[in-house]
Amino acid sequence: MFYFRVAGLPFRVDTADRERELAGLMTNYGPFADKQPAGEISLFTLATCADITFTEAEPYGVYPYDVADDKAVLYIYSDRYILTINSSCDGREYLLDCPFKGDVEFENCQFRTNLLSDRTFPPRHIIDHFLVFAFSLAALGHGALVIHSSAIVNDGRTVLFLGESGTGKSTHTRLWLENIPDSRLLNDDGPVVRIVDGRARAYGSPWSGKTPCYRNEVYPLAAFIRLKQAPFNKIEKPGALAAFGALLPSCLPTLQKRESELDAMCATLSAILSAVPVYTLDCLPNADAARLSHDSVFARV
Amino acid sequence: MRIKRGYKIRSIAGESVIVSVGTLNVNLTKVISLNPTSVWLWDQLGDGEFTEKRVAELLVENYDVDPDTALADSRVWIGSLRKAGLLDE
Repeated sequence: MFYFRVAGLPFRVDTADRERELAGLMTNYGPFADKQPAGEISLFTLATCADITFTEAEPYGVYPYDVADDKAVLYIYSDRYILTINSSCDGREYLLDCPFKGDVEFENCQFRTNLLSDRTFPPRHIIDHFLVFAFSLAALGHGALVIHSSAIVNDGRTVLFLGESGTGKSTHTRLWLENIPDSRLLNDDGPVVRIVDGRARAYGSPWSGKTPCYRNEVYPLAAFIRLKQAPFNKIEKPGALAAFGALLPSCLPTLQKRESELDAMCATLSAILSAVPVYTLDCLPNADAARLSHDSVFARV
Repeated sequence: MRIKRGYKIRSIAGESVIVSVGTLNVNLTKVISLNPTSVWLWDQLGDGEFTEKRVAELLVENYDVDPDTALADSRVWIGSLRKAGLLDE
């Protein structure tokens, strides 16, 4: 059994006694390894199960999408999510089963997957995709969201850069690291934002895309900056609804298809928005863009 | 026509909005803000069938507005729902 804690939230992965074999595949989870929590309930347990059978009823939603080069499908049933990924690496179909009780008060959920069973060594990106989904689903009821973004720490606070794939999140982050003194990367793909006592905090996570940056650290969240490529540098602060519209697409789209999950996501985003400013930055890939975004967030009063 | 299933009014940052998400591969997120009259009409119509005329009647019955203005307002309102992709016709 693996025990992990991300953004303060404990969860377990039952590897069917394959810890030793799988540890090498899951090095990004290493910094988040935790002891078995005493008297604390895990958010979820992801159990290994060779043969997953479930209710024969027709799903009421079928949503195909792409995970890197693999074909994935999200099935929504009345009592569970089923996520399947056909791996182009090994030709296998991997499956994640997440039953729910109808609301988002997730605690001690029993999720199942065939991912870690028998002799398989599943592709790392599929392990991560399943665990991001399981974690995000179970964390919704705890005011926590995995936000697709690149996170920089400066002056003891975190700035999250948002944008669709290819808009230059990692490039802009690199420009901060090169041009803004005392900047550090916290995470390059999926930090967790959580509201704790009315304050927004950004946590490092095991999910950092192509950049191996798995820091188990937490900082107050200073701002979001949504990036857009442009032939000039310009920063603006949009109104609340535009800010919401800028944030929602950076949350897990697979959890936006069912009303109760979308409700929880919107409620958490609404709370985050009342605590954290959102900027939109039209930018060139140059040092001036990094200075402009830095000075806007950390403006001296 | 009727309002598409699966949409509902949510309160975001103190405003009443409809959130429309895209497919899982394409980000088509739209956030549509509703004024109090729109919220009221939305609640009245629910998931039932309606026409331009019905919306105009509702406006006349509950707001201080003459039938011609109400019909014009009804067309504008339905037009904006249509443009936002919120109608089944």
